[in-house]
Amino acid sequence: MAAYEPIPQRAYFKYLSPSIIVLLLLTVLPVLFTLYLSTSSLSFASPRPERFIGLRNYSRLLDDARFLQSIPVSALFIVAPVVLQLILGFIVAVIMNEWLPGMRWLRYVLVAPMVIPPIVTGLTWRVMFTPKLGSVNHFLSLVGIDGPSWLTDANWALAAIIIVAVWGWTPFVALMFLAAMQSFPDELYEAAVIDGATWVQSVRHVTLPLLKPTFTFIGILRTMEALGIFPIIYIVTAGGPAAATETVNFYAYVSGFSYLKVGYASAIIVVFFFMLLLIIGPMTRFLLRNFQVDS
Amino acid sequence: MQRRSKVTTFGLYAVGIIYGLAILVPLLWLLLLALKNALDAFAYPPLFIFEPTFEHFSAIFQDPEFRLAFANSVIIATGSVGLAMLFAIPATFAITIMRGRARRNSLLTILLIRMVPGMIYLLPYFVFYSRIDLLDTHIGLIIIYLIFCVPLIIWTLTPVWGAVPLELREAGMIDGASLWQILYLIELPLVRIGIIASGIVAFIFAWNEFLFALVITRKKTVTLPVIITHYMGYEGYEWGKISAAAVVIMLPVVVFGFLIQRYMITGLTAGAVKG
Repeated sequence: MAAYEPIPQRAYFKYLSPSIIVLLLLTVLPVLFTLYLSTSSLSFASPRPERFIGLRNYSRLLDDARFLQSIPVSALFIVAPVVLQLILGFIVAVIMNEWLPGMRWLRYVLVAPMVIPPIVTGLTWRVMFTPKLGSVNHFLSLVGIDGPSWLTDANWALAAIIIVAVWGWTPFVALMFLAAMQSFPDELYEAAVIDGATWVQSVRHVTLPLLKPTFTFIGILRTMEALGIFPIIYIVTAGGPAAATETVNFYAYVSGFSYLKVGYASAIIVVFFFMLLLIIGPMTRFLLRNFQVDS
Repeated sequence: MQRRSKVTTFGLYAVGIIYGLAILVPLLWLLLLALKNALDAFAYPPLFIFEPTFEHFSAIFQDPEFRLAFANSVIIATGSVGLAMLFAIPATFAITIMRGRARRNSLLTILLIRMVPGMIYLLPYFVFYSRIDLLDTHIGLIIIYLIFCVPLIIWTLTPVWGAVPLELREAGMIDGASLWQILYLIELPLVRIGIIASGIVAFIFAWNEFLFALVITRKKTVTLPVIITHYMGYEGYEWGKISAAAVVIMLPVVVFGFLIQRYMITGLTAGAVKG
């Protein structure tokens, strides 16, 4: 047998490092640049040259009612859709996992919301909610409900965004749950049958406990992504009526690109970033402590 | 599996069908709208049977701005996938030898990078690009999309590549191949399904991306998701064109989605993550 050296781990370093370096450069530098911009007076609307103004952008934020209002809106758009996606996704996954005759089409249908551009999701629902053009209120009237004016009433506009977010991301949650369910050992279900459990009981006492880690993991992923909700708000309500559906990052966009106040918008982004760390930080620690990625 | 009661079975069917319709009806509605003339579009009660027209589709394809946007979207999405592959393939090759803590930490870090909302990076790239003249260029957008495409490809490709036995590498070494030759000549052909699937996942991302495209492009490099908003102008919304354009944009990704459904689940996160 010919002598050879086993491949040392460090030989692989040069294969992994380009990705790591590029990803770090492309993400860390912009964050540092944002920190710098947030202390400047830079505005594309003003001809004056930018100058250092310390923390004045930040102190202005504290008096900005529109900014303060965007914080609870952000919180609502994270909590409500994610909770509803998890509940509905679980129900849909249970249904698909039964392999009911004639229901195979459901898993194909689910692919559409996952892959279509968020901008198209937004447009689809913008159409659906628009009086006459769309049909949400028409279908509601068929079951005797007088539909609200979705996009012009502040509370209903909030509800509309939540509905779109649930429509858009429940399929992903359902398919992830289904993938997990298919790995559960049959023996547990057979044991449940022997113990005389009904179908509902076996879902409640076998499926649900086994699904707990997946629930946590998907919940965390969805929360992170929910923070970034933008195209849907942009298209469905444009933040309106009267900024009622404006999240923190949407307000940052408006400040930076509609009002062209780059310094001020950067300060909003920095605050947004810290909110993100506050949420993602503990979640990441939880993931690192409790999860393994197997091969 | 347990025997379900008839009531339970009926309930499962009912919820499943209602849910499926709730997904389908809005999309079909959009498709119908794209085929309706302006009068039929606003008819009330809504029309389900009408004389279909293809005027909106021919209108958008005669619009030079739309045709340019179509070309831009193809160039940018393909370019993003190509460039991201150059980084992601060697990285995945290296990740497949990792075990335990190192593997998990690398994969989760890469996942987290993709999860950060794009808004965080939007302003600095806009200001920086305006200073180095990268606004409204294809490459400017392609570089930003690396942030998302490289992690997507690595995550989709890792489980596929993990199925290739590591002994192959030792065998290649014995035969005198370099690590690079093992990657390029031996293993890459074995994982080509994974390459295609992960390429499609990244393509779908770049094709769909809206936020950066909206801000970084101006005129020359406007992409499809952005061109739609041009039909939502001050002189009123051209719903026919909007819905026709939306149908055209989503058609390719829906087809791709069906093709790689199995891989998408692992790619979007991981079927391989366990508690």
